[in-house]
Amino acid sequence: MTHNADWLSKNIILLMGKGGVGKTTVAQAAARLLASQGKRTLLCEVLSVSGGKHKLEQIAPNLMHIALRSDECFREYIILKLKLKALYTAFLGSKITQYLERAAPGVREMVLLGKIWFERKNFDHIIVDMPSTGYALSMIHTPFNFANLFPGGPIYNDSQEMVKTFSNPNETAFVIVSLAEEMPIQESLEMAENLKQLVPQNPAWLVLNRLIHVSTESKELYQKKGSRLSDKEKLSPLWLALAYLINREVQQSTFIADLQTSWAPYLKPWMEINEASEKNDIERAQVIANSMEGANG
Amino acid sequence: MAKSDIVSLIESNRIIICCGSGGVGKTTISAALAIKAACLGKRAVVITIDPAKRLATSLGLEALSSTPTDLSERLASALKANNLPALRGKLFAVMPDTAQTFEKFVRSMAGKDEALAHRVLKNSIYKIFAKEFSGANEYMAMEKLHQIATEEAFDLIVLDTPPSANTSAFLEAPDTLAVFFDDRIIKWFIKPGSKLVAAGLKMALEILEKLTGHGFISELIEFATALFELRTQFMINLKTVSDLLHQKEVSFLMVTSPERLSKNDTLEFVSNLSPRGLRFWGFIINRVLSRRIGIENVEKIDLTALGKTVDAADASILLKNFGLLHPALEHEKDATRYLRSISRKNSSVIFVPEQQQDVHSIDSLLNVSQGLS
Repeated sequence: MTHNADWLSKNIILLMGKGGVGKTTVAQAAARLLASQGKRTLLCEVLSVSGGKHKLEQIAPNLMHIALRSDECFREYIILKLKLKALYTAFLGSKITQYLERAAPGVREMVLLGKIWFERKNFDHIIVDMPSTGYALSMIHTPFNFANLFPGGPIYNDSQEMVKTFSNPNETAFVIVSLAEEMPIQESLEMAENLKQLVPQNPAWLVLNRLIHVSTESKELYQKKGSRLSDKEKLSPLWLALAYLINREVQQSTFIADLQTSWAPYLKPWMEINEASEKNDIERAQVIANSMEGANG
Repeated sequence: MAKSDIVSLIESNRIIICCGSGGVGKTTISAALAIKAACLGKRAVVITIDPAKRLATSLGLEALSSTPTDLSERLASALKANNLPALRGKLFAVMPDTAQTFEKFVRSMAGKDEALAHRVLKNSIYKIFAKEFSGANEYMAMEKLHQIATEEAFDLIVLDTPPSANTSAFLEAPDTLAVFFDDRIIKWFIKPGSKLVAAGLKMALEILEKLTGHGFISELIEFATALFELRTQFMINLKTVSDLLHQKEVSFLMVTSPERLSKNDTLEFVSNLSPRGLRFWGFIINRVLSRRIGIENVEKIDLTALGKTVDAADASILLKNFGLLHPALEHEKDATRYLRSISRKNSSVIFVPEQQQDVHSIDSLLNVSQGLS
């Protein structure tokens, strides 16, 4: 049986989703969990086209981190392909090359993804914190486009190999992180459909993040008193917060119920992560990691 | 009574450009602003690129349309149903098909030279370029804005910029696109001047040919040559669009949300505007939780005082429950402080409360619009 945490066992784990769904926290949590199990893990950030420091740093035992820069990835790729220093120095120095690196469509996306693909052999797991939906999708489309665009040669071959890796469900997991809210779920379903067209053999995984669970005692209190509050209490942020959270929980459960049908075509069970109340981001990631481990066990 | 910031934003501008990264509710806010303007008696139009489907449907846009759709009747009945004053202005929406706009753009640049347009449109590099290139959507949005502004059919145009990873992408799009049309570079392909340049180019192209396989270079050279022929017209278009953005009655605002705020991105955007001579109006912070639950100042949450707003017997359970909102309120506090700290004296910060439900109906849009003041 497929387990909702099986994606944690894959070599390349691409976390995607709409902005604000907590993708970065989930990526942190997954990376910390795998590293704590003794797996050599790389947490890789692809923020936007450029902007990362592109420096491999150790952030915990077994856990390396890098924020990629496309220009550095480009350099590395050219050096890898041309090998001879005289050759690549001349090529990288050429204005035509600089023009192509900046302007040719897909080059940046291709080298970013290529770097991730290339590093896969150096780690047990690479957890990739992808940019938000639209850009992430066009990034993933690039090797597929390139495999069609180029008639042959090393770039064509590499694109083909990347396509193979990304299409293989044993090697790569596409994980969509979502909230149990209407718009994010809608977008996640659209994304899953888009990926299904691209890699039919490797359907996406789904993680529902930040699920609200109001405690039973709070719910009982609300049932008992919520409808007959004094005028002063009606304006109290504490009562308003309780009403808000109960309402959120009800709404979330409706959307989750709908997923029984709408997610069915994608064949994989989804993972549910509860809202954690820790103020600190790393503590929160740790709490989520612990709950993932529970799901995995 | 002094006019609210939003009212003066609407009254003193002809074009409002809403920027912001994905997922902050930019489309919602853009639509709400246009609704507000229509309620104030303006003929308002919102141009939205690639919105979530449900939101488009709520606006009455079933499909992409390059001409404005009149939504006034829909809005008028929503106002009536909510016992609000009758609609004084008009509301329109446009949802252009960017692929189609791009094709039109190429055709219009080529003018009578249909063969040239055909050469570009069928080029395999162009096809990927139009689909995937990150500045293309943004530039098409500007072209659409220019087209609608030129028609002079509206008092106010609200532009919802395309979703992108960073907020500045919209501002940078013309420059990014201009790189393609940089004639110094394209010229090398066509007629490399000195022998030294020619030799360097030959070497680079040979290596490229090895990397990319036979045939790609000829496509690339054809693409570059065609762009070279289009460049004069492109530069004229670029100038026209840029002039429009620099007009006095054009304001830029940034939509953000406490959960989504990136400080680097925000600072980059704000500091990118004035060197370009563009006017920054301020921030609209969407989905503000504290406002939803009756907290006036998120920077000063006093749990002891909060405990006293309820029956002493219930305080401990309620306070414990309140703890679930800590991360969200913490983010909000941080975001509010930051935005206030970088706002200039004359720019505004507007808070829009978190809504009870996802915004995807004209009623809920109306609700958001009412909350803008």
